[in-house]
Amino acid sequence: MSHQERKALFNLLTYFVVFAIYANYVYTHYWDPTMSTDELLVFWAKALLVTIPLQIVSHIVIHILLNIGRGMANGGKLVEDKEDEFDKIIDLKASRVSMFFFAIGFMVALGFLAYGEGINHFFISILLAGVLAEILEAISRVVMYRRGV
Amino acid sequence: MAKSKVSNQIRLLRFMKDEMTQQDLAEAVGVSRQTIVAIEKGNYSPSLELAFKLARVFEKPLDEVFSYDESAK
Repeated sequence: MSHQERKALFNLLTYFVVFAIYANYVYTHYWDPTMSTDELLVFWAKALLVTIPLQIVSHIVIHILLNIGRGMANGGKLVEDKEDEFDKIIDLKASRVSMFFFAIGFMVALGFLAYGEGINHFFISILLAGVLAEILEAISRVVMYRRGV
Repeated sequence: MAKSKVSNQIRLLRFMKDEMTQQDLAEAVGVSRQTIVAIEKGNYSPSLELAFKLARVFEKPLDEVFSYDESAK
């Protein structure tokens, strides 16, 4: 398995671990089934606003740790993690796959709202769309690195 | 993902250049080894700039390194 494939899978793993820990924390500390609509909106807005920087910071930390591990495996010599044209094309195509599935998830979420299913269905659909988009992005990255573009 | 219509002689040219490694070639043109592997296998057609850099490493004209076969599937 190449470094790029490993990186894609590590990113996915990090996403899941951070997501699971954070979701569990929010659920046990802040979730209250008796919340009103206004309180629910505030709850989901705060939960999502914190998720984004949390995911970014955890990805940066994992990226640094991965490079340190790679350097140690290389006898202490730090290897520059440069991105070439092949990486950039795969990056763009994988992002397109991810955005496509997230957009579908967003439309499903709007569908829930349109049919009066409530705010929880809307936000949970968006979260699940994000998870699905992340999984498919990582898979498409690995497939494209193996089979070409 | 279909094979590219652009084929290349990079494997042969590396062999002719004292069995140059993929890593050495990658470093010479400033890409990762994974990219050289993909180009050699015909899984990726490089940009014109990278193609010229590769040809320059082997000191060959571009059409001796890469060829385009329209009939290829």
